[in-house]
Amino acid sequence: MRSRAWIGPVATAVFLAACSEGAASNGPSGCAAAATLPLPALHVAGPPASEDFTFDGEGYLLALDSGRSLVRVARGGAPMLVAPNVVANGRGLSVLGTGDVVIADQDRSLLVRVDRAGDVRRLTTTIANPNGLTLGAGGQLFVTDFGITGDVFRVDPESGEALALARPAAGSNGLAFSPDYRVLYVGDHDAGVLYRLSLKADGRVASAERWVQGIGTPDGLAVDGCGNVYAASWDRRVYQVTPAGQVRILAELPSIVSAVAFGSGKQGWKADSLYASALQDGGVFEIDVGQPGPPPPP
Amino acid sequence: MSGPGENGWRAGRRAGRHGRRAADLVLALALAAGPGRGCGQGADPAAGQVVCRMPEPAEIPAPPAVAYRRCPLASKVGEFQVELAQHFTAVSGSIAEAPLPTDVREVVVESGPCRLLRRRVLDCDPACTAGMTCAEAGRCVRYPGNLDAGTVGVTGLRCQVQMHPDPVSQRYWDTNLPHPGYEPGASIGLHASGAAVPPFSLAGWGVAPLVLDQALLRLEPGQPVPIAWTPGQAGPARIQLDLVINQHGITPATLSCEVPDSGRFEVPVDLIERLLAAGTSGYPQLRVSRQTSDSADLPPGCVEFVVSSAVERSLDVAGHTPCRSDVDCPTPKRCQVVSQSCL
Repeated sequence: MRSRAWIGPVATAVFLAACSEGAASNGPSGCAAAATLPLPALHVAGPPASEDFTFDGEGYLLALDSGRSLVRVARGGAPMLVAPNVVANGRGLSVLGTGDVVIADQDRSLLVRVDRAGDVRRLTTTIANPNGLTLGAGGQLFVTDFGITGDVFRVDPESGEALALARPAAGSNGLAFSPDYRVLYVGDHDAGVLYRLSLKADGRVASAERWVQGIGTPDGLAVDGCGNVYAASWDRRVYQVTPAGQVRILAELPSIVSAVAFGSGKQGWKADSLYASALQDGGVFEIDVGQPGPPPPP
Repeated sequence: MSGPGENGWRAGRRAGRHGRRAADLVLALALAAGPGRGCGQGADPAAGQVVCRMPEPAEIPAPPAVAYRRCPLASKVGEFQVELAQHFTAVSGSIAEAPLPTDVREVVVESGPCRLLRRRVLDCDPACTAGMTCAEAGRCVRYPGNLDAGTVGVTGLRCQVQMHPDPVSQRYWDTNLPHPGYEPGASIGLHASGAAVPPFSLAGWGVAPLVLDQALLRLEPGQPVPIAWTPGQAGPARIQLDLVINQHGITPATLSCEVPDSGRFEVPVDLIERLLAAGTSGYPQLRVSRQTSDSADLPPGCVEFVVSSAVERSLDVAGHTPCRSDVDCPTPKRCQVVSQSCL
C-alpha cells in the first residue's frame, strides 16, 4: 500500500489512503485513490486533434493528423510524419506486439494495418463503422461497430478474420481490458453506460452485463493497473469508475476529450499520468493519477 | 484505448525505390535531369537527413495553365496528393481497380459552387465476408484492390520524388521531403510510367499555406456564413470548403463548395438551411483547403492529383446545444441522446 503526495496546482488535492473499495481487492498492492477529485489537468500542445491516440514502442505518442496521416510526437515536440494518408477517416488506433499500428477507418469500413516501414494493408472489410479498438490477450484485436450494429468484434491481426462476439448497445464505442485481460469494458456513447464482458480463454464472451451508468458521453476508455476504468467523455470530463463500480469525475476539462491512455514513460510522456486527447483543439491533457497503465497483453 | 507496443516504430523515413523496369529507367533518367535530386538518392534514412538541392528561382517555371479538374464522385478510383501540412509535406497516392462504394457520396442538392453531400450508410446483413464490402441494395461486392501504376515521379518539389508501389498494398508514398516541400508557385508535375494502368501525367501548382482569418465560425439559421482567409497569389488554385456535420457518422452530411481563392466566400442561406435540416449533431467542423486538382480518365476510372494546404476549425451552430441528457438543455427543449442535440 502506498501513499503519495500530489505536487500540483491544487494544493488541497492529496493522494491518501488505500483504495477503499474494489481497487484494493482487485488491483495489486500499492493502489491508491485520490481523496479529492477532480484532479487538475495540464494541457500539453503538440499532438494533433485526433479522435484516438496511443504510444509506440519507442514511447512516442501516435495520432492521426487530419484524421488521415499517422504522426508521432514527443512531449513538447511537433508532430513527425510516419505515414501519410493511410486512412480516409481514422478513429481507433492500437499498436500490435510487432510494433505495427492498426487503425479503424470509419469512412471506408476498414481496419488497416500499417507496418513499421509505413506500408499499409487492409485487415478486415466486414465491419461497417469501425470505431473503438484495443488489443487483447494473444494479440487479438477487439473492435466496435459504432452506431450501426453496436457489435463487438474480435479480429485476428494476421488473417483479418472478424468474429462478432456481442452486441452490448448500438452506441458501443470505446473499449479497454481489465489488467488481467479477462474482462472487456465497452462504453455506450449514446447512453453513458459502461458494459462489462467476461471473456473465456478462447476469447469468446462468457457473460455480459450492463455495469454502470452516468459516465457522460463516453468515447475512448483506458484502465490502470489497479483496475480503475477511465472514460473520455464529450461532456468535457474524464470519468473514473472504480472496480467496485463507483463513478467519479476524475477531471473537468475546458474542451471535449475523445480518448484516454496512460503515458509511455518515454519521450517525456509520464507513465503514471493519464492523457486525454482534445478532440477539437488538439493537444492532450495530462492528469497525474499516480498509477501506471496495465501491463501489455499476455 | 491504447498501450505501448513492445517494439519501436522504425525511425521514420523511407527512401524511394528505384529502377525496376526499362520504362522506369527512362523516367528515372528524366527525373535525374531535373533541377533536384531524387530524395532517396541523397537521403540517409537512419539519420533522417535529406540531401537535396533547392532550385534557383530562375529554375521555377511560370505557373502552368493548370485546369481545375476534379473527378466525378461515381467514377473516382484514385488520388495522388502533395500535402503541405503544418508540420510536414508528404506525397502519397493509390489507384483502385474500381470505385469504393462507401466513397461514393450522395449529392443531396447542388447550387452554384456548392453541393450538399451525404455519406451513404450501406448495410449488409449478414455482414460481408473477408475481402468483400457492402454496396448498394445490401449486396456484398469484392473490395477493390489497388493497381500498379509503375514508377510515379513528382517534379517541381524541393526534392524530386520517384516512388514504386508497395508490393502488398500497391500504395505510393514518400516522407523524405523537407518541409515545406516546395516553393509557392512551383510548377509541379506527376508522371506515372504505367503498369496495370496506362502511363499518365498530371499537373499541379505549389499552393501557399492557407491562413484562415477567423478563429470562430458560426452557423445560424437564416444567415449566410461568411468565411475569410488570406488570399493566395494569382494562380490556378481554388478553395475547397467542407462544412462537416457527421458526429461519428450518425448524420454524415457535408456541405462542400469550390470557390475562387479571393479571400472570402459566403455560404448561401439556402444551403445552410439544407445542411441544418439534414441533421445537426455533435460537434461540427469546417475544413478549408487551398488546392489545385488535375485529373485523368484511365481504364479503371478517374484519378486526381491534388496539391493542397488545409486548415480545420470547429463550427459553432446556433440553436444547436450539444447535450447528454435533458438537464443540459434549456426549457422546454429536451435532449435527443442519439444526436446529442437539444431539440
